Amino acid sequence: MKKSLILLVVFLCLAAVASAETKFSMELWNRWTYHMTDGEVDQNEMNLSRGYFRIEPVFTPNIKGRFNLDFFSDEGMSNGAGIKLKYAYLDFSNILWEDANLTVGLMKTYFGTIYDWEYVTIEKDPSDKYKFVASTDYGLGISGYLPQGFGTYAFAAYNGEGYKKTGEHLNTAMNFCADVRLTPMAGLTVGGSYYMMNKNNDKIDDVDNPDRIEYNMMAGVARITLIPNVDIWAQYLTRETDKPHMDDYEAVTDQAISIIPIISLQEFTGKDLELVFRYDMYDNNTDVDNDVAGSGAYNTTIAGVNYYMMRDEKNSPKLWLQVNYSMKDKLDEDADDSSSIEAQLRWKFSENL
Amino acid sequence: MRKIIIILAVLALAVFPAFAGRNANSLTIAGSTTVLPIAQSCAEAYMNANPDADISVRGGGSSVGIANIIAGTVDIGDASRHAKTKEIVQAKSNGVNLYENIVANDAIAIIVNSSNPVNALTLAQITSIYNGSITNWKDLGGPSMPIVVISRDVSSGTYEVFSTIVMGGNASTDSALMLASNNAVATTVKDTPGAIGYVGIGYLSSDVKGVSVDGVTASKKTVLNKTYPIARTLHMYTNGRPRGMAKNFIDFVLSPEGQRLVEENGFIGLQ
Repeated sequence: MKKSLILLVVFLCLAAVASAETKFSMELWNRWTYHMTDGEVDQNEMNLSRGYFRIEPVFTPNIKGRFNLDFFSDEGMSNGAGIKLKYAYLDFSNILWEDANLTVGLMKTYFGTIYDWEYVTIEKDPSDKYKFVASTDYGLGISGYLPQGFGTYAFAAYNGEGYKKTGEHLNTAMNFCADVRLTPMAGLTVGGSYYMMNKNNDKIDDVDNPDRIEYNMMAGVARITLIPNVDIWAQYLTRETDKPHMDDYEAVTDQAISIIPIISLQEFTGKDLELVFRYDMYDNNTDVDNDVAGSGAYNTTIAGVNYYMMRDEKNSPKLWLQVNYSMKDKLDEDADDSSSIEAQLRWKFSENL
Repeated sequence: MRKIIIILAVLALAVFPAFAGRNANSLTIAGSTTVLPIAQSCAEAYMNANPDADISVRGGGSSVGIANIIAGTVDIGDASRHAKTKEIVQAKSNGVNLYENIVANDAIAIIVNSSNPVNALTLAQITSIYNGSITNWKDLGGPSMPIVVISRDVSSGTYEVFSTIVMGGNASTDSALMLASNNAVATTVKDTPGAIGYVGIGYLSSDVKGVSVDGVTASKKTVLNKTYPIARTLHMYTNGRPRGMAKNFIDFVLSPEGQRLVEENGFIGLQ
């Protein structure tokens, strides 16, 4: 911990000295969770879910960086708090070609809506929640904008195992991701992502070796903002897992569908309020009936309110309250359903040096 | 049945907001500090002529103006630069069509302290000052005095235009003082004998001295005939073609009376 703090101070000094302008910011999520399974309360807890400390140096108009530490409540640590590195990347823009960014380091994953996710619900982005991909990973990516605002594209190579694993915990295979979004007209965005992930396939020739695993993941994304004050996100995720040691079949496919309408009430109430709904359907194996015993398929319904109490000059939230009620409905009729109420106060502040 | 009720409730709530509308007599404007004096004086004149109108104007910078149009929190976003592709994509994704209304011409004037005898610089010399290659006025025909480099903050449109035209997209020297507004730059240059800065031509005053660039002085004539090298257009962005009161206001800015106010504030009209 002491070494981490020293490294942090050194990085701060270097970033502040070397850059033309450096933004320091902190964002904290104070959360209360009341969770019930089959009518029995099994969690009633307040904690610090996230404590992001960010440094964003601007070295030149075309070279920008982002460094992000995540502090959080963690009963496993002796002092009750954990820390992890969440982002550490440099963006080189307009170097390869116009409107293109070359990103190097611990960066966001360009898969589905995980890159766009601003936690409109307290629950994670679907591809993060259903563990399709990690939200950030070590890699190198090229992203950019199509001419005349027609959309975006991104290609990246990653370790493929998220931000928590490094060194000997990593396999040697690189993984690849591509994402394209098209906005043919204002208010309508459609797109998709493809992620090819494999583990050890490059160093194990024996195709029957159980350590060889291959995942092929795809995401289809749509965003509709054609109706004033209404923002609708929809996503379809599918993953084929190919493990040679599986007995009955060669591949398992799981999939998720998520629909999220967000309704701004500001024009009617005068308050910066949003209603948020979310309906997720997750099927852990498309070859097995969802209502049989042992099925891991479930649906999640979330209804929530976001109350933005303060925003910055660019309209980004600075202080806001989120309240969510969620129901998890397991399709295996013998399995227990669960529900939860969560309230979260998020607040952030920043300073440019 | 429960799912059907939930879906119907969501649909009802989704359609209901579509009928909301803003107050037809009020207008909010935010953005570029360069465009700010134009917006303010035109808003005053417009409200004098239309007593029912209520126009609120604030600065923040070009990025703020465009971000607020994308978020739908203002009716007009002022910007002293063109919208970036990133902003156009964000806007379209949010259901907003960024529409650029050009309202004035501007030159970015290079200013020095009134006591500084240097009257003329080349574009190459300005680049060398701002990248830190030239650090003393004696190398430019002036007195032996360190150059104090004053720049705008990186989020300002004036910085973007200066950075593109003068610096070729490269960074200013690390020793440059980054200030948040045209006024702050002009005041600091006025109070610092060795200072050099850049401001929209509307901020030129007798407190500071404007220097010529490549032998051309910033003026209406040199901007309109495109001989002054650090020139740009000023914009008021709207969501789609302006309608209602936003249209009436922009029509006023573009009218002979509005363009007179543009020039009264030291900027250059469109004609």
